[in-house]
Amino acid sequence: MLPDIKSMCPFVEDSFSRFPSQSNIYGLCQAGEQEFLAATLKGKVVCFRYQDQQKKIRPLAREIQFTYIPVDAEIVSIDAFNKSAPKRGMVVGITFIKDSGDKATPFLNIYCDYEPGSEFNLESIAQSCLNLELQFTPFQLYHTEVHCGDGSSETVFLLSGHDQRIHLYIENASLHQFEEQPVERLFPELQELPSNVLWLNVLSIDQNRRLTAFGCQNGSVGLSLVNQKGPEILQNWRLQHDSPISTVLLFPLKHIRNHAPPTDSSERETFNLLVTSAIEMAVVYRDVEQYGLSRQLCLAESDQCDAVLCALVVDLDFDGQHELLLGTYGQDLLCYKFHQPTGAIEDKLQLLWRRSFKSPLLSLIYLDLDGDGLRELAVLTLKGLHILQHSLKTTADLVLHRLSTLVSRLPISSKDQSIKNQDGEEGYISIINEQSTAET
Amino acid sequence: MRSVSYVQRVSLDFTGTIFPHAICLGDADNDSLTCVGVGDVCNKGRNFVVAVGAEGWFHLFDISASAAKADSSSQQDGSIGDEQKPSFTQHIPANTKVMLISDIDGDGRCELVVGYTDRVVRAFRWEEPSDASDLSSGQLVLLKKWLLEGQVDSLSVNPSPEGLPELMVSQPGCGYAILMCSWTQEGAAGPGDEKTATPSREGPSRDVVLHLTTGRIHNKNVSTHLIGSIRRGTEKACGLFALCTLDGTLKLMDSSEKLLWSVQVDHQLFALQKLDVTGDGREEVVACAWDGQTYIIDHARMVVRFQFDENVNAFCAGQYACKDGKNSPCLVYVSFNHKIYVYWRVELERMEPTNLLSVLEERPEYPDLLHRLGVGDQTPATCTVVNEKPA
Repeated sequence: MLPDIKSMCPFVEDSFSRFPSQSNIYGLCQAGEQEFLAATLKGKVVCFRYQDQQKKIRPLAREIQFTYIPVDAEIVSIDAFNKSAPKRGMVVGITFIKDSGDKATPFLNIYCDYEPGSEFNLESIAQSCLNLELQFTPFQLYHTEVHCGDGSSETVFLLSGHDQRIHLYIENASLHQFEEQPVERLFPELQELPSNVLWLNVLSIDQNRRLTAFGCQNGSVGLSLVNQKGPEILQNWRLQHDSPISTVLLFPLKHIRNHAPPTDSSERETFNLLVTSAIEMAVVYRDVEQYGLSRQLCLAESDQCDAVLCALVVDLDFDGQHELLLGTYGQDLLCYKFHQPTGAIEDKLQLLWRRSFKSPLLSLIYLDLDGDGLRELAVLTLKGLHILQHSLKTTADLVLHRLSTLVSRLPISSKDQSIKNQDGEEGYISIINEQSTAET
Repeated sequence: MRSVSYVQRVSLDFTGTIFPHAICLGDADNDSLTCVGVGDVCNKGRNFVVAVGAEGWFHLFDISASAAKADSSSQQDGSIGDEQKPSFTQHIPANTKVMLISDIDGDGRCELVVGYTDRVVRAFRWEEPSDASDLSSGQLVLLKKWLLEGQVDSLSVNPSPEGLPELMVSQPGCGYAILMCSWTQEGAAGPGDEKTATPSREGPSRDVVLHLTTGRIHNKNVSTHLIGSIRRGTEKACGLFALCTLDGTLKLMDSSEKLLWSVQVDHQLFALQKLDVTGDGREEVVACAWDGQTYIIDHARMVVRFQFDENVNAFCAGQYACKDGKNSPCLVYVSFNHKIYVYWRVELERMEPTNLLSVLEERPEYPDLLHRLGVGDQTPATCTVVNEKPA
């Protein structure tokens, strides 16, 4: 018997698209500023965005024909990224298994267009393909930005396989194509893996370091702190859970000490690791930089809805603090919030709301689809894709309330002061931040 | 068009089969919380449940009286859910198909109109002696009989351009007929004069006004449904009515026969209802097809679709209280495997997709606030900057 949930889900469903065949947990990725790609089992890839037609907005799902994907192929995973500066262009990677008689052959197709002018055009990108045959069954296709030895940045593909290894695909600039390279050259922490990696997550932090986390099929979780210069492993942690890990997610949290005035020095940013698994409760490991995997915080009732398959850490109620979203096979979307009771040292996570769906949830993405600055939540379920929008009435009320609070704080002389686009943005947002924390 | 997926539902079991018109929503026990019921047929100021069988047995159930009795005699709550005994029974002509309880002649009292499978429509009024204490001394009295050319699939009442109620009946081929209530014109016409030769022979030509809504009829025999008195907000008293056919045509018209919109879908629509899902006082047209595809269309032709997963035997839409003790718009589906599904959270904020900037631009205080903050002549980029939330 679940206790009363205090809050209501702030999302309203805007649209639902049925898919002809099902997708999986690796089948959703962001491609571009305001669109995303969803891949289904039977080889179809759908691009979803909102189209602006004569001041009316329409959700639009169009199928993109990616070349060199055979008719009988089953798509396993999809990922897309924009190349790091100064390079330009979008790269899409699709792994699939081609069923040719008695042998199933896995492939990785990398799509990238080098023609100036069409580097970001999905239709032309879908035409230029690099076809790589794989010697292992692919799992998650992931991308991350890595600092190379010579000071430049490069975005690379990391593909986990059933051979208990992670494979690195990097662009060879002179040949204008992607190729596989040994992973230990750029990611020494991914060399010795205990089992097949089901989920990988990398977060860049300050001082040219990064945190790498992975979750395996046998339940082990690995976390490494790496200095990108070298690269050199600074610290390594391993932990064993009791069931396969479905997602790992690294996220920052700001801690404001209550008794100190809100200056920058008293705001400490800590990095935390969310680990979700098939059977157990989801847990958050607090402040991994300092404590590694020793400070565990459980998300109560997260094991009541069958396996947790996807997770997202975003600020949903615009108060400056992140909430945790968990999507489960039991057709529920759970939202957790950090509770920092005053005076107590430990904080805890509380279930804020839950929303039911008609079919199991596979993947979550939070991005701005309709170009209004407010992000929508795209939920990929077994039956199709749901686009959830924040309730526009309450959000419009909130915006007007914050604007009028800002206006009331204006000194009379500076009413004509214009806000600069770039520099003023952070100042503006920090005013909203500071004011919202003062409100709570 | 936009599709939505409704999840919250309650399922109820029942035994036997349900005829497509045998389900409706109304406040039966008069406690202002609705449950299945029909209308104030006895003009007593409260609603009764009316059930008419195919053999012509008319049963009247007074649920509020039995609820009060159960409270006072300290019976269990389950007795209300048990077999309801009708308070009154009468035999009227058999082969009933559809029924309507409403005021059709503008005299302020409800009449009972019954449509039959032999293309006949009869109107009855409840008459009882003025000193009657309970229902057993009253009876239904036949007012008029109309004979139509095509099958009667729906009955509805719609206000005419002058504001008086008109009885409308659907006719095959996306047509409708307006039935005149001649007893008000004649004044002295008694209830039992249907046997008089002259009025009944002239009846069809004088009292039935047939309207065909399309010049090019694809199928003259396609079954058609009708719903009237669709509220269009508080501006006009004139109501709208909607028609749907089994081959997928949906039309919205007003009583001056002006067509507001026409939609063609590729599903077989068999049920037509009206429901205010957006909460703005204007009712939307809800049409359901045999395979569960449901269309919700507003007056501006914005369509929202919902797919119910099973084949639908009967469909109904209205205000129902499932949780929180207050009415909310609901969709009720009866499937072919003895289950009734009530979807109780079907409210939509708006019919068409929109974004935050459009909603903000409609608020009067928004441009003024932006101007005072020095963000004038908003380019869309600036708007996005201003509206960006702390990540």
